[in-house]
Parts: sequence; structure tokens; C-alpha cells
Amino acid sequence: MRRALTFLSLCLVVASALIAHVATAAADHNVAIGYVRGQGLGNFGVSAAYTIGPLELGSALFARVGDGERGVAIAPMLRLNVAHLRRTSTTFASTAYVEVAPQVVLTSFGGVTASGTGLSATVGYELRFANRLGLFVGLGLHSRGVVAGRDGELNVTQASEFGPHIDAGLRYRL
Amino acid sequence: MIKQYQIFVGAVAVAAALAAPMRSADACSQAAPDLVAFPLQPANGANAPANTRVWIPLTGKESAADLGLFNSGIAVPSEATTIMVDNGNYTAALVVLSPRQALPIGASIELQRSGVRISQFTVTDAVPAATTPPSVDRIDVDGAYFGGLSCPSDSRVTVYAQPADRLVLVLDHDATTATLPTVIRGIGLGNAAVLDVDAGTQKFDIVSIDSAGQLSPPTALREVTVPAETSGCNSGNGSIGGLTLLIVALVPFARARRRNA
Repeated sequence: MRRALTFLSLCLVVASALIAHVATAAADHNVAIGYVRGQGLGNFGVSAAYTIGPLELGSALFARVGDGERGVAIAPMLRLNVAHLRRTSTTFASTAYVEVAPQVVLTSFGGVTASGTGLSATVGYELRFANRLGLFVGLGLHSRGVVAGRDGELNVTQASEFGPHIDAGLRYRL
Repeated sequence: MIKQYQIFVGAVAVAAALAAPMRSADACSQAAPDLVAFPLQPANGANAPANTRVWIPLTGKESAADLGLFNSGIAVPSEATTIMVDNGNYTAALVVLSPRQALPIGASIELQRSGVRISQFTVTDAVPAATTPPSVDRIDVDGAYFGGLSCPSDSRVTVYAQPADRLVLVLDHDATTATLPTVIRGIGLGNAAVLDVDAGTQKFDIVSIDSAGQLSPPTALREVTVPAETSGCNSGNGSIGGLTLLIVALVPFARARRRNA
């Protein structure tokens, strides 16, 4: 399961990059890249997404650094823009969204490689400005199992986590 | 009619309420952990070498002064060493009684607490002190869960060592083992847990006692990384950061609504 999610996450990251490359000529700015925080994964993440009608397919990559930890978390996501690009003024459009995102944590605690998986669900609201910037905030719940690894005699476990999270991000549409 | 942004603001309020700790400390109150939950060494009724030390966990308001060794009702001159087990939030104490002279072989030695016999062992031939450190089977390093949606669990490091029937002690790396230490981080029979360790790098040594209750040489330095605590009210790496970002992020929404009105 963990390998499958890892593979899926990496596929989505690669797919997002390829789509971004292919879509550069598109005039409707379907590719969005930017900063994201939240999903219970940390404050430092980058995201890429591709819009297909009301759907967005993408992935976020979070850095997990600190307290002897070095690693990443990958969160492929599927977002449904509920009120797709409802234009509420001449300077911006807005949309509410619902998002689900599996999570894969690949990290290291003092050299002991550890991994874990989780899932998050978020509802949010995004403003898309005329200058192609988008600002979103979201609220949701996430559940992540233990992040565990073993190396020789060492058996390292980070406790599981279930709870609400607050997402925020700034994206630029290419 | 309820508007889209009103639903969103309502969701913010609900999530903010969820983000606050949902259980008070009382709801999750736990008894102080028993840091000296090990049986007397030597065990009641066992044989022990003539050069043995006696390891005794203290309970309640006991002190070393309450304890003594007796041979046929005569006090055995002993030196009492009190060792504190300090896990960060809690402390407990144990006492090691070291007879000043070798015990007479074949004697039945009683351990008394305030004049009441609590244990007895029979003296056998002295044994040489252990010259090798304990063999470490496994070290479990567990990052804490810090409440919110369920009761918290402490970060801990648990050391499993052989021989499994001997006391295992976890000491700060810079502690000396030439004499009995005065402070240790954990102790247990076969395994020793150190609770409430901080996230990040922890360095420690491991020793065990031999059949005579003497300290073995320490193992090589053990260095482990304790994962950061997780939290049911975590909104990233910290809910304060998350709420700050949320407030900052909501400013443009409010302005946009006002402009649009």
C-alpha cells in the first residue's frame, strides 16, 4: 500500500511537470504552481496542479526538516472547484473547492529511514486575481498513521496523528 | 440566503474550535509513572554471591535510612547509595546497599524495612565482576502524541538488553560508571524505558548489573533521534503558525468582499 501510494505520488508529480511543460502554450492558464502549507504536513511546501474543467489534479511536496529529521512528504491531490471560476468582480474570480489528498511521508530520523502514509480532506476557498495569482485557504481533517523505520537495533516511530488542519497557499497560473 | 463565503467562515469557526485542545488535562490525567518498577535484586528467596549488592526500589516516603541488612538478627554494616531516576517530568529513587565486607557464605541474609523483613537471600561463593557490557537487542524510539483529540503519550526511548534477567540502566553519556551513579535516566529488569525525552538527538550509555549487583562496563555510546511530537490540533508544524497564516490569508478575502459590496 505504502509503495503504491509512493509510486502514485511520484507519478502525479512527474505528470504535473509534463502537463505544465505541454500546456505552456495554452492560453487559459491551466497550470498552477506555488507555495502551500498545511495538510498537517508542515509550513514549507511547493505545489503543482493542472486544471481540467472543474477538476484539478496535482501534487504538493513538503519539506520535513528539524529535530534531526530530514525528509519529504508527498501529497498528490484531487481538487473539485465547486463554483468553478465564479467571476465576482473585474479584478478577481473566486471558487470554493473540495480536495482529497493521500499523503506519503519519506523521511529519516538521525539516519534511520522511516515512512508512513495518510489521507487528508479539505474544503476551501480560492481567489484568483487578474495578475494570475491565486490565494487559497482551506480547512480539513487529516489522518496519518505512524511514521516508522528500523535500522539494526534502532526502531524509530513517530506517533500517528488525526486532526484538523489549516491550508494556505499562493499559486501562479502559467 | 446563505452565501458561499458565509459557509466558509462558518467552517473556519468550526475548525478553529476543533483546533483548540478538546480534552483538558484532567480528562487525560494519568498516574505518575512508576520509574522504579523492578523487583528486589537479589530476589526474595534467591541465592546471591558473597560480594553482592542489594538493589531496592523506594516507594512512598521511604528513605535509605529505613532499610538494612541483617544476618541472624545482627545488622550487616552496609553503605547505602541513593540513586535518583530522573525522566524529565518525574523522579523516583532507589537504594543500593553495599555490604562493607564480603558476606559469610551460607548465611541467610534478611533485608528489613523499618524492622520488618521484606526479603531474604542465601549467600554463595563470590563471583568476579562483569567485564563486558550488556548486549543490546533493540532500542525503541517513540515520538510523542500531544493530545488534542485523544490523550497524550510521552516520547520515550526503551532499551532491551541481555541478559534479560538483569537490571538495565540508562545513563547520561557523560556519567561515570566507576562508582554507583547518583542520577540515572531509566532502569528496569531486562529493559529500561526513559520517558519524556525531548525531540532531537539523545545520547546515552547502557549498563547492566551482574549477578552480584555490580555495574557492568558501559556499552558504546548510543545516539538516537527522537521524532517531533505529533498533535491532534496540529495545523502544520504548529497551530499558532497556522492560525496566523489563516488570519493573514483572510485579509484579502475581506477586502475583496468589501470592494465587491
